[in-house]
Formats: sequence, structure tokens, C-alpha cells
Amino acid sequence: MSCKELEKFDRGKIDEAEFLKHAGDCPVCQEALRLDTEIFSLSKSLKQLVEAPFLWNRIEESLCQAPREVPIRKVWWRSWRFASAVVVLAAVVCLGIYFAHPKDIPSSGLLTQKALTRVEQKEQEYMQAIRNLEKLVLPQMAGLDLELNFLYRSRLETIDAQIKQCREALVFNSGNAHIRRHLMMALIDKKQTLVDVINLMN
Amino acid sequence: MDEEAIVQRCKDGDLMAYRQLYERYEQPFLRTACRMLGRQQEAEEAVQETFLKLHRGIHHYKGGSRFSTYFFRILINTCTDILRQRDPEFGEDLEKAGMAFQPSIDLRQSLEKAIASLPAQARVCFILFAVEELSQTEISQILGIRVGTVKSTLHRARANLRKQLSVSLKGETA
Repeated sequence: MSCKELEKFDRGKIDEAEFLKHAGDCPVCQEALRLDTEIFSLSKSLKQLVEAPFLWNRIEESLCQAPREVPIRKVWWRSWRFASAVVVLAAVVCLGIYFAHPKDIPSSGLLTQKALTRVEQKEQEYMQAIRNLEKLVLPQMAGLDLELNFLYRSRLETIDAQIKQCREALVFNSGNAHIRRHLMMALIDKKQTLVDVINLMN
Repeated sequence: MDEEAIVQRCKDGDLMAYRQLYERYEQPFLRTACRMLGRQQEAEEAVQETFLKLHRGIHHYKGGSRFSTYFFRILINTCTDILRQRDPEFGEDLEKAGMAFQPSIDLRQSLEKAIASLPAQARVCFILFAVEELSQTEISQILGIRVGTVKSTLHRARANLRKQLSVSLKGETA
């Protein structure tokens, strides 16, 4: 015995609710539903235990011997974030040099005592600002994305090295306008870099 | 313990974490592999290979899908590879019938044989749905097919089993 509705149901052509409605009046479909219920409840009884006493030992042994595929680290200089950060930094540095160029320092020669005092005062202001920014930025830099963290740390280290070089050179030649100019640019650069990091963290 | 935490430990190469996964998945994996492959020896090899594959490529798992789905998919693919090696035409015709069904006196044995006689894809769908009680969505993710295909495959599997088992089941209830 067969029923067209049952055939449709078996081919997935009608949904369950429609079929159940039909089955209420059809003995063939009622029997099919009863068989289905039995098959499904019987299927659950197939969830019996499969004994495999030495399987874990074999797996463990093979895991110990197997080399692990080392994840290919994302090449940091190919990352779009790194590239965009480099572009932004370059732009900021260029703008910083253009706008904040310390015009009161002659590009060569020696500074007068008055000019030197003014420059030193300016340097102190920058140093103070940098110290304040460092207190804010350095403890939180670990929270930055790994690549950005690396990028900004190396940038700051480079600037610090420049500042150190300038200071060492100034010990013997404090009025050298050329070195003072370099020092001032490095200080401006460092302050701007720290501001950039704060903007990134926010 | 949270499965994601275990997975993270596996990523760190912690062997104990693999052991914990084994304790969770040993039985469903062995049952499924046994029914797909028909031989326990091969099923055990498939489970072992599944763990090895997980170990080799666990860093690829980014948590986009449920881990159980990801892990089951490795097992099913491993079993499919074994079946393909056994029968090179297996992949070309997933719908072709398995072993010929022979009714058995014991009802459960009859069901086992009837399931084994189902076409391969219907067999996997039915085992995962009716025995391992996975949802149709999970099955679709494991097998990489649409939910609609899972539904229609299950319909056909159910009709096939009903036909094969109707005599045994009627005899049982009579």
C-alpha cells in the first residue's frame, strides 16, 4: 500500500506539518509515521560503547612524534595596518617639521647667549611635555596591537638615540645651532609620536 | 572545562588537553567511524588520524564555527578518504548503495545492517542525526552541504530504512 502524500513527504516535497495533518486521516501514512518513530528510537539505542583500550596510547605516541605545523606569522611589513601607520607617521613628521620648524635657531653657526637661553627653555618645555606624555603612554602600550606596539617602540627608541647623540655632542659645544636644531626636531618628533600613540589607544 | 579553553591549550601543544578532547570525542567518533567504515580497526585508525590532523593544523581553527563541528568535519573527511582509497569511484557517486541489506532476526542488528546499506551520504547524515543527535545545521556544516540537502537526504534515508525494516518492525509489534 502506498500514498502519494507519503511519497511527496519522503522526497521532501511537503513539509512535516502538512504531512502530519494529512496523516491524521490516512492509515498508510499513520503506519509510516509509527515505523519512523520506532526507527528513530531504535537508532538511539545504537549509541552503545565501542571498546578501544589502546587507542589513546597510540594517539599519544603519534602526537609526540608528529611535527606541528608552525603557523606562518603574518609578515608585519605587509600588513595594511603597518603600512597605513607608516604613511600617517611620515605625514605627521613632515608636517611637524614644516609647521614646528624652530625658526629662531639659525641653521648654522653659534647661538648668542640670549638665543641659547630661549632655546634651552623651549627644550625644557618639550622635555616636560614628553615626560607627562610618557607617564600616560608607556604603561598602556602593551595593550596596543603587536605590530603597532613594535612600530612605535622602535620609533621612540630611534628618537631617544638621536636625542642622546645630540646631548652628548652639546656637552662640548652647547651653542652649536646645528646640533640644537637637530635636538629640537627630535624632541618635537618624540612628542608627536607619543600623541599619536595616545590617539591610537583612544 | 570550557572547550575553547581546552582548544587553546591544544594550540599551545599541551598533550593533556588532547587527552581531554579524546575523552569527550572518543565514543561519538568511534561510533560514527565504525558505521561509516564498517570495521573497527579502520575506525580506530581514522580516529587516530583525525587527532593527528587536528594537532598539525589546530592553529587554522579560529573559532568561526563550533569546535565540535570543525572536529567532526576532520573525522568525516578522514573516513571519506579511507572509503575513497578502498573504492576509487566512491567520490564520484556518493549516492550509490552500500552493502546489500539482509534482514536479521535481531531488530537492532537489522537496523545496523539497514543503515550500512544506505548510500554513503545518507548513511553519514542519518548516523549524525539519529544516533549522535546533531542538528541539521551542524550536519550541513560538517559535510559542507546545504541544510535543505541534509533535510532531503534524511527524508530519503528514512524512507529507505522504513522500506527495509517494515517487515522486521511489523513482526516485532505483532
